[in-house]
Amino acid sequence: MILERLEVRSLGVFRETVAIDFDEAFTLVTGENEAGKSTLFKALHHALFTPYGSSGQDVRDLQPWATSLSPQIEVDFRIGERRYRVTKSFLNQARCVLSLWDGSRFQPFAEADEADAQIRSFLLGERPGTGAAGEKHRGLARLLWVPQGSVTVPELEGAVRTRIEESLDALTLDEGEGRLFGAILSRFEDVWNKKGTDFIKRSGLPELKTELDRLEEELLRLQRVVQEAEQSSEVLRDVEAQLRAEKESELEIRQKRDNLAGEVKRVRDLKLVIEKTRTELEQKKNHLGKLDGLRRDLARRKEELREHNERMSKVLEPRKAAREAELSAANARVEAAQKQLEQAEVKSKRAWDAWQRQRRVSDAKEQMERIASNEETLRTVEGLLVEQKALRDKLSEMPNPTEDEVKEARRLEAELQRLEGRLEATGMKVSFTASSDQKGRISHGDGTHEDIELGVNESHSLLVYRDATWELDGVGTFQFHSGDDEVGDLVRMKENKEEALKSLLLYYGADTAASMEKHRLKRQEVAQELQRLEERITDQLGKGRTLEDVQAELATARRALGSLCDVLGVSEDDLAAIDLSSNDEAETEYESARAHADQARQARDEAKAELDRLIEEVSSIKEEIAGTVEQQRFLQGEISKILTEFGSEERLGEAHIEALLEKEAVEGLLKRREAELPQNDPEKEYETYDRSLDEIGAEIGRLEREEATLREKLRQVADDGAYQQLVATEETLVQKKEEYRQRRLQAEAIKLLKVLAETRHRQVIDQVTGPVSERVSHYFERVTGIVGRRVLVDPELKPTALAVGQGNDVKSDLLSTGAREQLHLLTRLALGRYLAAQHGRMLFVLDDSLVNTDPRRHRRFVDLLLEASQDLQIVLLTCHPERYRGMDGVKKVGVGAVAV
Amino acid sequence: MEVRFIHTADLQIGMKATHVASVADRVRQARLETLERIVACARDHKVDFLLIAGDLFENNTVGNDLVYQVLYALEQAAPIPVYILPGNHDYACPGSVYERPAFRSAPSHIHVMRTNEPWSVSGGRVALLPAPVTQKRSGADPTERLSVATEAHFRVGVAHGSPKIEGMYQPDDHPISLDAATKQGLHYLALGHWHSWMELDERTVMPGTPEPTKFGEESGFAALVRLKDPNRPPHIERLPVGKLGWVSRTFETSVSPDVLHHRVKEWVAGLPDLSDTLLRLQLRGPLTGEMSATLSELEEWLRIRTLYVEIDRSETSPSLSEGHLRELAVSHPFLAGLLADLSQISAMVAPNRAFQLEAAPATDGDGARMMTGLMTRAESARAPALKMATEMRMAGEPLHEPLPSEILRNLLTDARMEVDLEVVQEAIAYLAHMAGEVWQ
Repeated sequence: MILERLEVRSLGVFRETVAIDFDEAFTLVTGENEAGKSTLFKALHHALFTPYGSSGQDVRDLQPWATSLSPQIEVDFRIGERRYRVTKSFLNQARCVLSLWDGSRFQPFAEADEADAQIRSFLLGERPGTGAAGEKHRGLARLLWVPQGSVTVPELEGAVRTRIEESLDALTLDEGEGRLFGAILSRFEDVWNKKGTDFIKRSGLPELKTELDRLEEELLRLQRVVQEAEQSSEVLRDVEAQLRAEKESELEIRQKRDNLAGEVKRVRDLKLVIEKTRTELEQKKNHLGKLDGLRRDLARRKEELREHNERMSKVLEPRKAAREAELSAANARVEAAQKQLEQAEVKSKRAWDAWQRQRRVSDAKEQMERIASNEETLRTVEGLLVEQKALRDKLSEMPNPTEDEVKEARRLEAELQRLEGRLEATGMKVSFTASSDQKGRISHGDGTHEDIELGVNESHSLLVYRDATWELDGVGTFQFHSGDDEVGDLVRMKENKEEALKSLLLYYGADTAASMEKHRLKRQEVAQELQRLEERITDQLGKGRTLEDVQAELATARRALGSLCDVLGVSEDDLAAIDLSSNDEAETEYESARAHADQARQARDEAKAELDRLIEEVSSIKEEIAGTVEQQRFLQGEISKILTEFGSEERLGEAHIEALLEKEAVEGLLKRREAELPQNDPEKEYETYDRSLDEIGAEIGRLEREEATLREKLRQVADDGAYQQLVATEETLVQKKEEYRQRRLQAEAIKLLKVLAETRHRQVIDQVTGPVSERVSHYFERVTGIVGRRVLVDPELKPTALAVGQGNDVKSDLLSTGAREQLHLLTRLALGRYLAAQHGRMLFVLDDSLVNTDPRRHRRFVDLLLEASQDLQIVLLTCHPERYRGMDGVKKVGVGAVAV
Repeated sequence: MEVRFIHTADLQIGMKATHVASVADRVRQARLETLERIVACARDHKVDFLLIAGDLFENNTVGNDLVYQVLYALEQAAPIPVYILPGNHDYACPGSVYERPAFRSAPSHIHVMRTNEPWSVSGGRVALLPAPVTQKRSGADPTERLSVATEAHFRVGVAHGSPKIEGMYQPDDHPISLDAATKQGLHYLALGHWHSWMELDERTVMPGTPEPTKFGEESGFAALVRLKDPNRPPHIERLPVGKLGWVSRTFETSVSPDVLHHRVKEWVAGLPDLSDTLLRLQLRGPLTGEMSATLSELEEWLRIRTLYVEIDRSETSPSLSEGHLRELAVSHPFLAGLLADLSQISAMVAPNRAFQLEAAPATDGDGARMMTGLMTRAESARAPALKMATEMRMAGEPLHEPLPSEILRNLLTDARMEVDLEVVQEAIAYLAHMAGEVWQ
């Protein structure tokens, strides 16, 4: 379809008639925003696809604002060699006329709905419901007329899709093939999960498999049961053989054992008799033993009694008499020794007293000497103390300049001397020697006065500094003046020094430093003397001893002497008369007396010990005698007891002999009976057989139990019909296995078909998408200038991704807005050119697309459009005329201009 | 006066029939009925005794109910004595089926030959010399244990085992010397064990199982033996006693489905007692989709008329060279492509039995259209990523051509499929079925 002319009136911004003529190849419609470009685009749609009777909002929106005018559209177009005109108006003057050019004018040939239908069919449009034709109904226009904003490739369905496939000369699935494909997919989904990895539950296959597993397990179990039964049968065979053998053996042993029974009985009875005889013999032996004992006891007691009597008379009694005699002699010896001891002790006491008195006299004399010595010391020290006091007083009265003070005085004197020297050298000294008595007064510059009286030849010197006057009564006044200020200072210094010296000397009562020194030395001497005196006192008293100590000692000694005199009963004077030379004799005397007394005591102690020993001995002998008497009494009791039982010793002897004979008789009997016992005990043999029988019995019992168990097991298997179960299970299993195999085979077959059909279907799809992809890739390369990228197109013919090399796909929605816009536009353009190639030139409208495209790509895109205008009629509406400058030979229409 | 007896063996009551599991119960039941028929024969022929040479039962652990059923059947023979030899399936042992209370209290005419002790039968004219089996496996020749009793007129040996025919027996399967009858000086040697009728010599008979157990057996007989003169061989007659017919036949599939259909029906029409017949159709030759459909239909037809049907297709190869599917494929390239792929896969998985797509369809049809049409050479050259895209489009192959085997192998690997010929065959059948539904 080629658009030739579009005329609108009473439509949107266009109240008046506006008409545009279109170029067959390329028309650029420019206009500012709101100029009405998109209104024209819409008008084209409405003219071709909206039923004229429609009164929906879309249509009402076409009315110029605030008017009730009927929007009118007239479109002239050409299809092949035929030229058509659509004249359509909406709302209150709704009508539609389709006319055909007859060479001179347009002749109406269809009106109203028929016209609408006819027009729609030109672009494969479909009849909409009510209202304006929505996108979906616009057929090819949907693909080729690119609205503002949305450039995405639309859904291509039905006739449009078929038309494209025809244009691509693509093979497609016919309806039957489509159903076949659908049937394959549907069968597949009945059995398999999406991925084709597992059977779905609905298919029944998993259930069947579970059943198979269960049956296999059951079969295994039954096979085991049957096998076990066979084994049990084998075991049973063995058990029965063993049982037979054991029973035979049991019979044999029982026979042997029973043969022994009589002999065993005889021996057992004999043994009982022997046992009884033994008991009897034992009793006899006991009785005999008892009688033997009694006889032995009697003899022993008698012998013991005899021994005791003999000892009493021959040993104990004579010894007692001898010891008692010794005892009285010892007693006499003790008394004599005691007497001697007492005498020796009296002597010793006397010697002691004498010696003690001598010692006290000696002590008293010593005390007297000590008193005399202390009194002497006391006298001497008191004299020295008086001297000491006198010296101390003297010393305290003496001036006491220190060595430093003397030095200071000497320094001051030297200083004064130096100052005077300087004064003499510097000042003016006036000396006056009176030739007659003179009286006068000297006034010094400092206001001090000095009255002077001079006798004849007496002279007075005056040292003048600064001013001084010397009045001489009756003579006149001398006026002195010294010009040197220093003299004054010297004088003041000298006066200060003099003052200091003077006070120092005065304090120590000296007139010069030398005398001051003399004082100091003198005082030193006195101090030394005092020290010497004190040393002497110390010597007298003794080191660390005070006068008080001496006095205390003296008092103590006097008290001691007093008390000694009292004890001795003499006066102090008498003491001296007492001779002390016999002192040592008294001591010797005492010591010898004491030794004598010690000897006497020892002798007495020895005698006493001997006496004690004898007393002890006598007492022990007496005890022994008492014990022996007791023993004799006991033995006599025992003897009479035995004799009382048997009457007499003879009777006892007779009983003993009797018992002996009885014992021997029983012994003989026992021996005879024991000889009757057989060598080997038949009972033991019998027991051995018995034990064997028990063992065999146990074994037989065990085998019988085992046999019973095995038989029961086999019976159970038979009752259960295990083999029948096994057979039934195995048969069911085989059937189910076959069923499973069949169904699995079918499942695999359908899967195979599905895989192949899908592949083939993809191949079919690729026949359409392949060329489109090729062409769009080529366009995209031209627009972007980037080589080596491939645009991937999905079965819906929408660009989905950009392949950059192998396996590096960039999804379309991850691309920039501009690139995405370009891809979709290029796809539309490619499809448009395929359609045009097959069906002739077609109208391709772009309403201000590519707003997001950079100028370079835009230019290349325009080049592509110019190239495409070879087989497409391109109408481009834009508000950016500057982007299309320099497009020679392209028809340009300004919308604003037309409107005026 | 002659001695007459029936010799049978291997009834294997309680036998499993997993190979025809769907009718196993019926097959088992038939064996009991056969025993009843043998007993009836015994009465009809007024035999002196009935001899069962081993494997009356399938197993020593069969259920008591079966034991009672067998005993009930044998009771019907009274007063004709029945002599039963334990075989390798029901060998004599403490837990043997013959030790059950049921047998211990069985009627007096039923005898189990548990030991080698000879039995004097038929008023002492016949000495039955049994060699009962006492363990499952043995390498000993049972006939060497036969008693040497000589009082009787006729010495009849009874044993159960494998005749030592080279290549046909296992050394531990109770091997029996081929000249045992002569060696043991027997007038007749009654054997049991193998399932097909076999006369080893004029005095030695293996009657086989009286009720067939599978296709291809020569079985269903009992031996009626007449002993007249000790110096002459016995007279042996084959009594057909089998209940179920196991019938098998091979059919060529190279004919048209209609012909095959006709042939099968004709064959079946000639068979007696269809409801007691198990059928096996062994097919040989190419198998087209149409033939498969015909066979499916035939199978259903047979199933309701016979006891059991088995169609063995293992010697056929699938064929797509003709038929409706092939015709459809000519005008439906998508279908053609699928068939081509299946054909290619069959060649990959089973090169010897692969089916062929003979006579490629005309190249001027829709299916032959090339896919590279719209892309110019220049455009292809400019697009470096084209290689992958080209692969995606199967190198521009026409839709009806098979995909390259490399691509198919990758597809199957990706889908984690291990395809064998059977799967392919099934897929074709499926496809044929669905195509039939889609295009009526």
